[in-house]
Amino acid sequence: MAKDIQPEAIQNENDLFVRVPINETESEHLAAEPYSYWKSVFRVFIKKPSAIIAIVCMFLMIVGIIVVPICAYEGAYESNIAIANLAPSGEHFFGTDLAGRDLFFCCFKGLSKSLFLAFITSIINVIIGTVVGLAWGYFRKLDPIMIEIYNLFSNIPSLLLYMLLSFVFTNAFPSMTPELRLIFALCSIGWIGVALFIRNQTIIITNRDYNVASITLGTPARRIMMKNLLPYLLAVIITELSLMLPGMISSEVTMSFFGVGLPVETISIGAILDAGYRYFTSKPWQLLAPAGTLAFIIFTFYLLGLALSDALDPKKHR
Amino acid sequence: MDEVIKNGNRITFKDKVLRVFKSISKAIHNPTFVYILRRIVSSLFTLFLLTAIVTALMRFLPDIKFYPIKDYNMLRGKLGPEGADRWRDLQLYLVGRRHRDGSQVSVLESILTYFYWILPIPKAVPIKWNTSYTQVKEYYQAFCYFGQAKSISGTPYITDLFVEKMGISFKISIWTTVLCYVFAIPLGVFMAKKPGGWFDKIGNVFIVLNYAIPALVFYLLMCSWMGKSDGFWGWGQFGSFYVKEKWQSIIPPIFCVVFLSIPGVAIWIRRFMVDELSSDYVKFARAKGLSENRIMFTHVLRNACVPLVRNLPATFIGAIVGSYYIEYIWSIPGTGRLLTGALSGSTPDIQLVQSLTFLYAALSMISFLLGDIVTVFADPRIKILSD
Repeated sequence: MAKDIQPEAIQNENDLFVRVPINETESEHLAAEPYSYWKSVFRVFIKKPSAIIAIVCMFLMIVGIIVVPICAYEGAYESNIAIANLAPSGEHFFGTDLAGRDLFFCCFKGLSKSLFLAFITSIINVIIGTVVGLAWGYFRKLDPIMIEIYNLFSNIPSLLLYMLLSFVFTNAFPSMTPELRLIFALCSIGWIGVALFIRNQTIIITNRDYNVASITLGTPARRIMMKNLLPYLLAVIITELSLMLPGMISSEVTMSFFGVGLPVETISIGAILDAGYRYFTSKPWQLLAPAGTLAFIIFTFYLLGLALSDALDPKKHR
Repeated sequence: MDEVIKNGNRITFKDKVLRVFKSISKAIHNPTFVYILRRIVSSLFTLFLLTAIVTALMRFLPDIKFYPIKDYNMLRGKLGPEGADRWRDLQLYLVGRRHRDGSQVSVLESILTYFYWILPIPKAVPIKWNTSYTQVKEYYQAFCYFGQAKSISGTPYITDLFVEKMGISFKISIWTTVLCYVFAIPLGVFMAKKPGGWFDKIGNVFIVLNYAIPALVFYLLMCSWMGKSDGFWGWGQFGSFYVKEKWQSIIPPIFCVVFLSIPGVAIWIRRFMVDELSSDYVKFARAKGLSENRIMFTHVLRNACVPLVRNLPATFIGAIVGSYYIEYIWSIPGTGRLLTGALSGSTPDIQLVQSLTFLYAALSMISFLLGDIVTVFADPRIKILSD
């Protein structure tokens, strides 16, 4: 074989090799896919059966909230004595209530209202709780005062306090709308539990090396909280939010049941339940329709919260 | 021997006194004792702060809520505006919002008055006047005075009311707490035995579905279903409401509460057990050839129970407080119904609301303290530090 090689060709050895120029960007490139916490979370999350069920339920719920009110016939939400107390049928899927409102449409409208209220209260609670909890955990001098405040509020049964506050607001500020009153009552102490949770997490991670380094270098406290602590805590905050939502909806229902929540005329799950339970024995659908809707929401958000808390757990990654 | 003879002499009286002082100082410096003392003091402080806040909150209510406006208008027609105003001031004096001469009582003053009432010192509070309200006819003489409950007919004193209504509430919560743990512990243990096994999966589905049931609806359904005299629950003749003479009428509410509170306990037992399973002593017990049941129930459960024991008093107290629903639905004459009665009436029952808040807060503080003490007894490794 060696005969075939032309002697002229191997005269210059350098022609055999091509010098590759150094490419800075290419040499910095990692062949392995860069690790992303959120991608990893998504990968774990999507594999869970409970997450899939929760997502499907969530999808159905959102479609229901958007589509059903569009399909409502004229006067579905207004009282019409002519069709009061009808049992479920092809015309009225969930039957009608005492005032002749169609329960199917009322349930979906109430669902959107209750969810909206629960979202607002949960978000306010979580935001206040996070801010207070971060400050509480970071500035240890606040600890004795905050612990005392925590003891003060956590020792009263929350339902009692909600009822008490709502009652005081009703009588002291009659011009306040019931929705606003409810939001105020639910936001008054709901944040304290979140704050304690965030405080404990903050204390744990403030002593990590990267935070100690930041503190030593003289980074201002606000920057440490926003850039070092908050991104780390985002996972637990999201879980807290999704587990708080069903609790808030239940609180609204309970308060309406005891007559300190939204009035009976408003269309919310709590108010419909409150109106329906009185005639439960003779007209069970008036209770079962809102109850089923309520169970559906709680189930969805509870499953979502469980799947999220599992998927967001940093121990399960890598 | 050196107990009796010190430096060759018999112990003197001075030594005895010194020894007593020493043992007292030892007890005082015992960290657990100091901790409990500190907790009691801080709880009392918190309780008084809470009472002050609630009293101040109550002052936000407008005066008009405290007397029937219909009567005021009627008296205005009969006696003229002056007489009607005098009557109104009197009504407000009775609820502690005006002085005897008609001037406004300040918030601080009403808080201090309430403190004086609830402090456990012997006192006499005027409760009955003659028709023109110039002379006190009757005093309430006792240690604590919480006021009178208006929403209960016959205006009984709240102190007596609590004593009377507490019994049935305690009875129900004892039964629910005990039964809840009796059912939840085996469920949690068998679920933890094989995490991911078929029993664990069924248990998880049960727990998730159980969480989704709205308590109110479940109670209402069970109340009507178990109350039927025929059918599936017919053998018990439970009845759909509570009757004092009929012992089985208490079973439906207890059953419902236990059924709904099992998952909360079982899920924690499972979690603590699973955490313990990977520890060395379990591996050692397995290596020695102990049966799986023996390991679970005698070794792991004891350690897994420690965090739960802490919650035991709180669960018990929570069962008293949280029984608004069942007392409302089964018409059980307990403390839970007092609050709903006080809040849902047309005129608010301020003193009842105040005293109930005080009572519940005091109960839950006691339960938290008890929880800490019980934990120390349950697990000798845990020591309370006073700092």
